[in-house]
Amino acid sequence: MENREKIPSRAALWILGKLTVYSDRYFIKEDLEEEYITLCQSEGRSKARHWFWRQTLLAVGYYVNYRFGWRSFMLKNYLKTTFRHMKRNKVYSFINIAGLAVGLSCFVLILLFVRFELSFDNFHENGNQIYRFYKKREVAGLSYMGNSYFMTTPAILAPTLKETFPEVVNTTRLNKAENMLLTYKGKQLYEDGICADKEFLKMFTFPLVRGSKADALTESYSIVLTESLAQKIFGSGDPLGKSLRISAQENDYKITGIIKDVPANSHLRFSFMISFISQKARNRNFDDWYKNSYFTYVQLQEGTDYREFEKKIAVFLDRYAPKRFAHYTGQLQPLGRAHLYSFFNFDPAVTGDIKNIYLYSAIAFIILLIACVNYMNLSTARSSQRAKEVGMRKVVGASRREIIRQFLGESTLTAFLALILGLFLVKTALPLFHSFLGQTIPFDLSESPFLIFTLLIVILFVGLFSGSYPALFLSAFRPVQILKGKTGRAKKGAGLRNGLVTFQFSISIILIVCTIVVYSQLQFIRHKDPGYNREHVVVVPLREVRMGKKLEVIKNILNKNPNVLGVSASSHLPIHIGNRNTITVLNSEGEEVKISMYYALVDFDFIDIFDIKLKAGRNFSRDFGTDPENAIIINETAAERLGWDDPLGKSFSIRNDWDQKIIGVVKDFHFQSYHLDIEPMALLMKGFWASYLYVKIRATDIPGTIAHIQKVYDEHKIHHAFDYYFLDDAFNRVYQAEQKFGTTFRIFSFLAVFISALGLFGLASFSSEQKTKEIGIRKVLGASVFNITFLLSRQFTRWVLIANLISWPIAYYVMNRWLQSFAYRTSLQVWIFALAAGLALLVALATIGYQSIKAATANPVDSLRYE
Amino acid sequence: MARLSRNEEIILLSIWKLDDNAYGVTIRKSFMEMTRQILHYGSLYNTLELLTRKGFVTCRESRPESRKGGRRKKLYYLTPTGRKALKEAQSVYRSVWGTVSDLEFKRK
Amino acid sequence: MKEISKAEEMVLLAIWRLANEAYGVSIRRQIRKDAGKDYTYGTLYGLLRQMDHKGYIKKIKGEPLPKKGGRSKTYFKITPSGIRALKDAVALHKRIWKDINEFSLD
Repeated sequence: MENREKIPSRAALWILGKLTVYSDRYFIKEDLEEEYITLCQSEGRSKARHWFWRQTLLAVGYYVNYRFGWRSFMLKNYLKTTFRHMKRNKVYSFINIAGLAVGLSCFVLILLFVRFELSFDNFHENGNQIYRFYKKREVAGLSYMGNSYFMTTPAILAPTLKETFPEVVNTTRLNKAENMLLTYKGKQLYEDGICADKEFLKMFTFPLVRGSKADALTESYSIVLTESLAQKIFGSGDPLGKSLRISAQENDYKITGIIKDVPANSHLRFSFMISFISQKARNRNFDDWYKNSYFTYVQLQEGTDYREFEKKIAVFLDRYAPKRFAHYTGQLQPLGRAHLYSFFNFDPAVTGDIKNIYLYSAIAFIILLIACVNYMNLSTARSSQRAKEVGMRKVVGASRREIIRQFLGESTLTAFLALILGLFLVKTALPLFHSFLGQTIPFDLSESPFLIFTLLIVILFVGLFSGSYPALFLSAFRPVQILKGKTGRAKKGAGLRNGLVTFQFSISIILIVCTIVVYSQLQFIRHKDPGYNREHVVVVPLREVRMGKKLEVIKNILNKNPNVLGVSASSHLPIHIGNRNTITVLNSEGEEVKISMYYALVDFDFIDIFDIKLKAGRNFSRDFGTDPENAIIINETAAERLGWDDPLGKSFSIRNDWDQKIIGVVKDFHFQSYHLDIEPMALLMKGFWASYLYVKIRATDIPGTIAHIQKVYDEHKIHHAFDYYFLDDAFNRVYQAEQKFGTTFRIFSFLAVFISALGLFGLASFSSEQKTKEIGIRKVLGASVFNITFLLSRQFTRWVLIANLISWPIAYYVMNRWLQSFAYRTSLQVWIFALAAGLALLVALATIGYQSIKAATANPVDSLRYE
Repeated sequence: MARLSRNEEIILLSIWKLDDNAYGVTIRKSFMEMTRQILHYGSLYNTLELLTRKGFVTCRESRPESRKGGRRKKLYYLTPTGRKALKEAQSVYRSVWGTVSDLEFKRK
Repeated sequence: MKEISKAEEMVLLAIWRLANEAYGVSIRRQIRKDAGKDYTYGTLYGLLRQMDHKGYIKKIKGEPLPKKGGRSKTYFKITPSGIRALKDAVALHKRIWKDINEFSLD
């Protein structure tokens, strides 16, 4: 707190530092700080800050005077004219500066995001030596949900690697402990954590504020908390040595350390760490190669080529690891790529997508480009109006060089103002940005000199470029020419300007098309018949492993509620059945067929509650006592793949020693994301365990029914607190990424259209002003307002329409690629493109229309008076 | 000897008056008290620079104060030339205004 | 009100002292006498113009010279505002040099 008081403003101090003579010779910073402190006490902090900033800016002014002496007078003059010019054309100036500022702020925000994403895991000291181990499945056609890469490894892998290879400096195993209930003296919290070997803290840089790196995770039943978690549970008390209870486990965990909170740019997010070997104490087998539930991280010697090392691993595993593991090839992924290049099944990392990064970066640059181009376009168009001013200046003796300097200075200054405004916009928009992304991104100007430098260069370039037309072109005129009005129309720029309009609108139309397509694909997903009914289904996650008889009792009680239409339970949600096994059968031709079959464990009521349609055979039924042991129901695709003409009654084993008989075939339903084709799937009852309880309810009195469900749940002393959600919502959440994608596009297209409209507005006003005389004459000759509006609009509308021709093919190609990632998708229909074109045209017409009408309704007498 | 401008005169005088404590903040304060006008730091430093170049003023860095948060300062002192300039300014003034008392400021 | 510069002060004082006889040459002479400062006509007229603009003095066109095609002399007279400025300058000077009798050189 004290420090903050004493530092008025880092930005201001940085500026002061740049005034070298004042700073180094006269110690201006110290002087100002001293007065600032006194002012803080006498007049309060905000007044003091104000004063500080004012002094800083004034100092800049005086410094310029010092450095440039007599020349600074001219500078003052230029400043005055710049502001005078801006004041006189308030609307135009505002549009121009605002447009550039908006473009700049988008650019900065996106760049911040990209920088954040690229900075993941860069805080680990040994970062460039750490790799993640993953498996690649060699056998074709047997991928899991379309993906042949797996992060999961057996527990024995890590120590084996360490013992065998000298290149391996260290290894650690990891697994996730999500949504664990931590209890301490009545306080209950659900937190996400990890289980890690003691080497974890040595390999990774998660600094300990209490406890020691070497010991913290050595013993069984040790736990390390993050500072905030410790704060939440213990307040300011000392947590070391105290014990926490976790979920329903018998042994308590002793707190052996506190680490600083995990930074936002870490691919692993957790608030506590449990020692890995605690799991051993709970009878988990760490010596077999079959239980692949863990993640392995290795740290290699500095300078080791990890690809060469992979080959060594391959050789070793071939010889040493058991056959079933041999299906896989072991490979390493550098830590730096963990966040953005995750293409694995079962990745514990917080994942982003490198493709998104490319996309967003591209969009950032495009928006910046449009904004800059706009600015240059508008300034250039407008400046031909200042020909008279140039004439006057020349008459009173301004040299050509002075005029050039004036215009260049003016345009650079306004560009600079736009930069300031833009940065201010960024600061205000930052909280919105954070909530959209779901995370905070640090934004500190003084820490990113590179960014400031780039922005300044851009602004300088933009400013100079846009000032160059009036500077060079106008200053060349002889004063007499100008004053006589003989400067001639600015026909030169016309082609370029029209091209720019086209360019901007093309971009806008592409973005609009993308937005519409994403939206319609999402709608398609939402409305496509999934093959089952998920309306009004309350899902209650059951975290307790052994429900036993409790489940039946609960179901019976709930069924008695008149608002309950059905109760069921299963191991997996019907929207996401991920459990899978490979089975080998002999098809009707007697050939061996290997298929991957997904399966879920269900109860008698599952198919009914979700209204899944039977194609052949029958549902599970209580009338058949053997069903819970032997019955299995498969879907159409499974029946097809198995290659049996009549699957009913046939047997196969979905797991090692199980032997199931097919009693029914259901119509295919979407039990996975729409990205994937429907694969073979089976439902059976053997080995039933319930992760989810489903209650289908009536639409009436939903809160009441839910309250009842909660009451029943609580009455049965289930350890975990009651939680529920609707299946529809869960379904929508699966497509959250796509929804975000859609929203992003929506925002970008709005911005693009906005900026393009701004540009068009400026151009239209310029164009109509150029044509005042022509319009006046036409009106006198009898043209109606409509005629004139039409005439003026036609020019630009043509270019907007041409923009369509360019953008349609590009948009089509891009969206087609995106849609390909969905196995089930809408098609790109003509109406989408027409709508986008229509919107763009509408905006264009509205923008031009305003100008045209204004010009068309002007009194011809006024416009013709100038002759 | 070239004439001192008003600002230069006041600043030189402030430096003299402040004895061993003439640095940015104090000189500015003294100036503003005397003239009841605001003097911005930039202007002050520019003038000091000019005065130094003319040889009227010299400076030395202070020893950082022993208390916590001590800052470094540049302390300014008059040179003999500077003193001479001030003395001359005073005598010119005397000679110019000598015969007039402000009570005589009436329309003639 | 912003204080006037030393130069302006000299000129104003001279004009005040010269009462009705203040014009280019005489002002220059007076300043020479009072302060020993030799102003060029360019500087002088520049200052006069500035002070006129600021309202401290006003220009009075005098009688044309008896010569053929003679130009008219421009006289300068101090305004109340100018007097106030002079008063302020003196007061300021007093404030600054208060209690300093003879400026010691050591």
